[in-house]
Amino acid sequence: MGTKKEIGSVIKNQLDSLNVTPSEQLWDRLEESLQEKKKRRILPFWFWYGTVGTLLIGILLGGSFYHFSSIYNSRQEVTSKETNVESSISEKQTLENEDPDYLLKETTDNSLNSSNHLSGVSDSYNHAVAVVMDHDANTNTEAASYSQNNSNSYSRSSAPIATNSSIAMSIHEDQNEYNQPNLGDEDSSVIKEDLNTKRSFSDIENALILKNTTNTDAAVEDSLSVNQKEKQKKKRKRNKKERKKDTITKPYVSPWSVSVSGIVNSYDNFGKSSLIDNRLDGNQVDRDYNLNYGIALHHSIQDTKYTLRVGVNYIKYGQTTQLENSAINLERLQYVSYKANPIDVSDYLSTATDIDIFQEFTYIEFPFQLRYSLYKEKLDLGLMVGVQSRVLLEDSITFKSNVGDLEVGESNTLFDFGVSAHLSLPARFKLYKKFYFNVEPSIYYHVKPYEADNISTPSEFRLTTSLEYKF
Amino acid sequence: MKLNELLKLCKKDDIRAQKELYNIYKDRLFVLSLKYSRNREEAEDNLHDSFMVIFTTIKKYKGKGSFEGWMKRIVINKAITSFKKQSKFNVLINEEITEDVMVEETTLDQTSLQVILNAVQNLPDRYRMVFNLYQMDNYTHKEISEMLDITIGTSKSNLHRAKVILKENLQKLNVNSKNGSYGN
Repeated sequence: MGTKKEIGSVIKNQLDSLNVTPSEQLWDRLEESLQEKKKRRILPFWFWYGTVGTLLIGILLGGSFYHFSSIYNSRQEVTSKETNVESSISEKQTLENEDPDYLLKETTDNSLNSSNHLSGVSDSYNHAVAVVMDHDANTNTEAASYSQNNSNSYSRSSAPIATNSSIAMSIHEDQNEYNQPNLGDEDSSVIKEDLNTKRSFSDIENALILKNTTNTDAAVEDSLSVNQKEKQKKKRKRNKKERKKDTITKPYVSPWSVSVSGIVNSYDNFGKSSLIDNRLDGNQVDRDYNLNYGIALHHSIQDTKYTLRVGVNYIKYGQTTQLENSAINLERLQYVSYKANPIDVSDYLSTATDIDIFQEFTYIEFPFQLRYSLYKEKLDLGLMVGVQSRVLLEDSITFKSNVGDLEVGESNTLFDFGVSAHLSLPARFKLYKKFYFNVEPSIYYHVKPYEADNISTPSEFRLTTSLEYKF
Repeated sequence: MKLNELLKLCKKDDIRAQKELYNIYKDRLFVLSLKYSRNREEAEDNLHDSFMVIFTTIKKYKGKGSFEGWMKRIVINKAITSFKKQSKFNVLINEEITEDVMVEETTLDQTSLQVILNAVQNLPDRYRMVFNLYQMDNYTHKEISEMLDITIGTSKSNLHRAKVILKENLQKLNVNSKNGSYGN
């Protein structure tokens, strides 16, 4: 009779030398499964990056188009205004030189215009008068005083009585030139009434008489030339003032700029409520500080201290919940939507010890911000408010332990879309020529990002630093 | 290629490295899978699922402990999970029987490995699990009780019952073999 041994050990010893090979097809199956899994992972990656890329290109193209078209328009505006001003000035000067009564007539026309009696007057005429009014409003008043200071007479309706019939003709010609043919009788009568109210005929007559006697009266001529010099001097002064006020004469500064930013964020649910399971409320949660990225397009509103900004931010959050209560069934967590194979989860949990639950979620944000400069020098300090829409890009919950990590699924309480508001205290430093450096500490408030009502709304602090380029 | 280099490539989802790793360990892991399964097909399914887990979680393998041990644990866990899903009725036997089941050392000398393996595979599922975990892979009854959601006493009892059944079956096979009927 041989030695007796425990059957378990005998079988173990025998089977230790067993060598069997699985079928050849097993690798093919495995390879197929691996390829399928890879495809599932690749698709969302390209989808999201494609979407974000398209959006960015769209924003940049739209911004550039708007930018260049606004430059083109402003240049055209400047050119046409300059042309108008030049032509009306030269036209006016010609008229002044050739026909001093032009001033008188223009005064009349202006008074007509301001009394809204020029309904029948054509646009071109209105425009010409308007331009002249804009740039030489003073001349009109001067012309009035010029007329009043002289003792000529003038009659529009009756035959020209003046001592010099050529002057009368000239007045008629001028009137024909500026008054439109469709100016009706009624309008004419109103015009006449206005003329009466604005000017007395005797004054006009006096002006004409003065003109008539100009060539013969040297003393008067002297006084007239002195008057004209004074007028020109005043005119120059006033034009200078006008030019100063006119923004078109300032050098063009582009209101557009772009910035690339790095964002560090930290957030907290002040209510200590867990994002994993309400049985874990109050458990220690370690939140990560993540470095995130953003890009923005800025538009400063000219002659104000306001700047508008739109952009895209990629913001990641990460937090680890410590498991202090081991009695919780980790295969059935309240706010976890399990995606992993239950077998894998079960396997993992059966071997792992010291498990922590790591949750990571990523948003793409589209902020719209308004910045106001409180102090605008080389260092620009301001105040900024903004709202932003957010889209949940990625969301994962992972068990971490001594045996490794296992991604089990995603949150079932995070909304896919959300809205946030924020308040910032931005500071901007000029670095070099068109380059600026921005520092923006901000407080964010996210409007109900969780479906579960008992989870407190989080508040977030962000420090954004960005490099801005004015183009 | 060294194991470390192979693991690095596998972490990058290099399919050739994955195949090489599969070829190195497939036989050893298949034997393990066979012991926990009822038949070859089930063992292959289990090995397939185990390698999927291995390749998808290899990035998280931190290099602590034996890599083969890590893979073996995955195969065993897969088998247990599969067993849990299939076992609809739990037979609650809580009698603590700890007596050893003894056989003569030479009893299995003439028995082929395939026959011994079949004897193990033909054990009732729970007994097979406990027998393999305790006898083949050196888990304690406490660990087994946690893994299979049973008491320590049940684990001990299941082990004893498994050994008794194995002894009876193997002795029958031996008698048949002596009578010339083995292998028919």
